[in-house]
Amino acid sequence: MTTALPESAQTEAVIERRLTRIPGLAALRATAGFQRGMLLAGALLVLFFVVVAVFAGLIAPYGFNQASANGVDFPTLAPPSAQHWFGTTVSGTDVFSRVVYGARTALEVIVLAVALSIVVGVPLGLISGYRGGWLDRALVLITDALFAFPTLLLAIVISIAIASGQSSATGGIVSTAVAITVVYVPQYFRVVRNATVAAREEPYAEAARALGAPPRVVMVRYVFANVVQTVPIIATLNAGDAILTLAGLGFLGFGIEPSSAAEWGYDVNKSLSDAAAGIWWTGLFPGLAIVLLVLGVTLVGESLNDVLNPVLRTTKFRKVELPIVVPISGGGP
Amino acid sequence: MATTTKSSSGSLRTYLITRLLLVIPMVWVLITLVFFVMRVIGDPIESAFGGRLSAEEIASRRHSAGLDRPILSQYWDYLVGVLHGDFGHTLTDNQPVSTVLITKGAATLELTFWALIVALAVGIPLGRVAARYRDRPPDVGLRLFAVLTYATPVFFLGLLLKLLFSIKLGWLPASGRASTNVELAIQNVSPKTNIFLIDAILYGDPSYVIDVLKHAVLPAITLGLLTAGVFLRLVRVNLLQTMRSDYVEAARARGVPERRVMRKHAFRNAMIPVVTVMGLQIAVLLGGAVLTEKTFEWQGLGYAVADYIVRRDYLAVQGIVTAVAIIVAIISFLIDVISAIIDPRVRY
Repeated sequence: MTTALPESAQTEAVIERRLTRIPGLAALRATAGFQRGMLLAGALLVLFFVVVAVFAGLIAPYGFNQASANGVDFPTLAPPSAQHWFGTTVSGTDVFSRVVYGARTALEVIVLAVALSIVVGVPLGLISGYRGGWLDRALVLITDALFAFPTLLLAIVISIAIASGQSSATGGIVSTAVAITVVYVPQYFRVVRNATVAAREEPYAEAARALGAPPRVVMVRYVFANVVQTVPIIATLNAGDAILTLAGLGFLGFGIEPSSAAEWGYDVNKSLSDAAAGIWWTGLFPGLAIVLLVLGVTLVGESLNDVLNPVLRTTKFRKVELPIVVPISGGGP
Repeated sequence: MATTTKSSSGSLRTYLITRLLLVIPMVWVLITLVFFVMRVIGDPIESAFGGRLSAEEIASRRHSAGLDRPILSQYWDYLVGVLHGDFGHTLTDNQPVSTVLITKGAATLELTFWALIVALAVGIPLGRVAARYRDRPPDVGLRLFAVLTYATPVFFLGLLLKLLFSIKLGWLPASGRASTNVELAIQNVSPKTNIFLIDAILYGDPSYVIDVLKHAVLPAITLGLLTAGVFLRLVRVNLLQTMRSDYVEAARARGVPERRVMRKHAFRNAMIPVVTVMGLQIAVLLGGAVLTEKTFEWQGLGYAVADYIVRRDYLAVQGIVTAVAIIVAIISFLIDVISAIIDPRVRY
């Protein structure tokens, strides 16, 4: 079919195909204008927070729970200064250091929660959609019920159940991540299940069954690859929501103990009582950190969604080389 | 003609019955889930009073609350109780959860109502503007605004508004549902609705009404903006889609001016999905209300839940959460009914 293409175009096509194998790049190449700007801005914001989280120990001048250095106590509720860029809290901790370490807490919880949701939600959706029957109906009913429930209340109930008695840093992070997982599993389940129900009767699945492939093989080797494509988009969009749920839980005083890790939502809550005295720096900086991280993740998720949904995509104009049509002699009325 | 009407009302009835039958298992699953999850942590009496009361006292309280019986019989009693509107008793201040629901629920209802007004008043007009200026600077700016309202946690927006409008500028009160003297005065209004605006109107002093309204402004904006972005995007997308449909094209072809096409022809149909999504947004608003109420010390259900959690009164939490689940299920059912009535396509 492609024999008519000149050689240079063929190599170009090969290069293009190779480039599109890098997922981020493919998405970037498919966008133009405003969408490309959104994707880039989002990716940069996320990258920034990842760097801050990874190198928190190097970036933060003090520990997140440190209220003195060299035997001298930090001033309490001091406004931003050269020594404390973002000021200090009521207990004398450095706001800048707490914001920096907060990025680490947020990313740990989110990565764990998203990974757990995928590990639980995707196989569940695959099995439920492929097998059907009573199991499918029961799972759909339960996840639909969970889905309709206010996410924050659900997360509260789950974290009461699992976090009672736990107060270590890892315990807090794991239990909060599990609570967030329960909230978001229904979304992965729904999407994968519905895609599986559709894919189950596709000719290629039928063919695999006709060749004698057992259900497990059909699911894993044939259906799986065709239904997971939307998972990265849901994962990114959920990640933003999950950060807000984490912050909401922290704001209500859940999950992570303040002495074992820095958490932005908790810090904003503590700043409410400072606000009456006109003290703005204890709440502003952790709050801004939440906004920027969620903004970054959401921009990436939205742009990916737009890119993979051709109806919403704004493509740049490309030069199209039309094949040379050799008119059949005497054709046409 | 007559037969068409009959069959369409028949399909509406079938739809409503099916939809109602779906609510029941959903509510049952939620009640069951909350009940058992809240029991995983162990004995509610022990969590609430452990270390503060003697072992015998805890045992006697456990007995009087029926918590020493097999879990399945407790579950059955709870289920029967919920069906009769009895959500159990709180442990720490020993009152029926249904009383808490009525007094605090009114406050949450008031807040959610104002927030919905803000969300619609901000989201719908801005969505129209964004659709009119598609892909031009106003549209780009509004889309960024929508993402930003989503990315900002309600409690942080509340904090910022508080810092600016109540502390720095002193225009609006920083917290509470009314000033103390107003709250005391309207306590004795009868019939008392616990919805402060109505209570203040019944009391008859205009300055009290203004006081109540002033207290509602910041919480309503805070919670309302949370969903305003959703409505903005929804109205924008639907308007753009409707503007491309054949009947709108037909109106244009007849020479109807573009502004009038948007206002008279496209807008109404573009609003149908807004009604549908409103049902989903109620759950979001109720979740956001917990955080908003905590930020503004608004004494509603969310504030009560946060308070009971701190006191480890898990029977109270269980009762309130169950009630909220039922309320959400009923509201989303009602919204579906409304959208089925206004949009015949939903029924099929």
